[in-house]
Amino acid sequence: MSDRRWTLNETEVAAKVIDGEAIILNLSTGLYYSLDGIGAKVWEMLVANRSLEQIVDTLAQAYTESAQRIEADVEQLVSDLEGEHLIVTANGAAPMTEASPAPEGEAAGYVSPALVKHTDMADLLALDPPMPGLMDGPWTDSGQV
Amino acid sequence: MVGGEEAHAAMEAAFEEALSHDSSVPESSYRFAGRVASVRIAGQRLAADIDLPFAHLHLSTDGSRNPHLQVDLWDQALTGVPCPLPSPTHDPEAPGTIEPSPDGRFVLYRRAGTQFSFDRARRHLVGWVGDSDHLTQFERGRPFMGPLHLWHQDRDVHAVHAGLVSSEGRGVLFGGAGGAGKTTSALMCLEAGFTYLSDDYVGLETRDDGHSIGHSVFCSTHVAPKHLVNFPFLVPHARPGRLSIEDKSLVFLSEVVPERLGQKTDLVVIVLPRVAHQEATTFRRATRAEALFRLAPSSVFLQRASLKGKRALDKLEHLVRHTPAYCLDLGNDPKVIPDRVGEILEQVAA
Repeated sequence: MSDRRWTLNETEVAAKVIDGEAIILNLSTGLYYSLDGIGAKVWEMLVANRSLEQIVDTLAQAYTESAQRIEADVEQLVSDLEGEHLIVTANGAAPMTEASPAPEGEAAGYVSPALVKHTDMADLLALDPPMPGLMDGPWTDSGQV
Repeated sequence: MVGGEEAHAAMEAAFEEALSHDSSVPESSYRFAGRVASVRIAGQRLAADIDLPFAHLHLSTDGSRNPHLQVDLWDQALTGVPCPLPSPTHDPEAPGTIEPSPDGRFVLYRRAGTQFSFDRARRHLVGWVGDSDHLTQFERGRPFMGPLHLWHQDRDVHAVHAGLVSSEGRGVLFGGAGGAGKTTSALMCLEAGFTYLSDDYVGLETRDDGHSIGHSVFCSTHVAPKHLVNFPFLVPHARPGRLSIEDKSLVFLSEVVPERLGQKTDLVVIVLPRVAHQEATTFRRATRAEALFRLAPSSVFLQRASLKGKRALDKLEHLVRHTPAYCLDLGNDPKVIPDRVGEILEQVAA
């Protein structure tokens, strides 16, 4: 199984996971995405630089589903996320944090992850495009970006 | 043309020349997000227009000494001083351009009839208006919104696409994308006696102790004709649009209910209205994920700069983690909205 790792496309994407649901916003295109359940768990592991093997192993320990199906599902999700430019290949990055513990008590609940794409904001950005060149500087009060 | 020191200096010089053509330039002070802004405008009609959407933030004291924001504007039609920078377009319906300097310090906002240069380091905004009689409805209702949002962001106060009302100092934030019912909810609550702060954009400030504060920016509202019938108290003050893209009427609430406009409030609850095809207006507790999902996209994309967008998402996450949220499914009778909002406030207090 591949040892390839991924990371968030930091230059274009902002994302949060809250209460097991992920919201992912592409700041360049105005498109945004959601993942819930297993999809959100995979997202958290992907942006923490977990390898495909680690992600599949983690899910296979938690669910009764076959590792082959889990691997196929995760590969499909990775392909979708890469296709939307939400994650990029991590160049030699080590995992950012310790491996996530296997989800507990969900053995019967495996559902294939699916990336949901929302396009209703894209027109807004088409009229009013983002400013990638706008940098922060010492003139901000908080010094935070 | 790119924003920069040279362009800003040219705009400043033109403003000084305009001052020499108008001996009665008023200097007004406002409070934006708790900070004092000083505004000088060469051109009396323009000065009167600019005051309307900010009237509720007007300070009676002189804030011209060391303000947190200095705004200098001139009206060419009244002073005869042209803009020193070329116009990107002459089409009033065309979108404008925003051009930052390479280091991000200066940002130039240009569209047909208006140009603004913002020096973020000096907190100085200087702007040209070709003719105040030909400002678009949007520019009248939300003057220099782009640089004003950027100034707020630099103060760590982020623009959120939301409405805001308060009752006895307890703020209710109405979140959701366009068409969700933010304006209807905020105006219905205003009519029912709530204090109004916004129905579209709110300055969000979060504190380390978990509290969040909502700041009013504009007291203007844009209401579609089909919704205006729900607000007869606004009708005498409604100003219809003139351009083909201006399909709503503009109302300055400072002309209608100046005594019921607020500047800031503690946020105690998030309400997420949604037009529901049902008879009754109902509410239920929303999850934090629902709240973030309904608030974040239009607010984060509003920030324009990706670094600011990420920071805004952090702020919204903080807000939804510390503030209860409710879904409000709007039924056929909008007049019951204030009752439901009152019931939500009672639940939050319990």
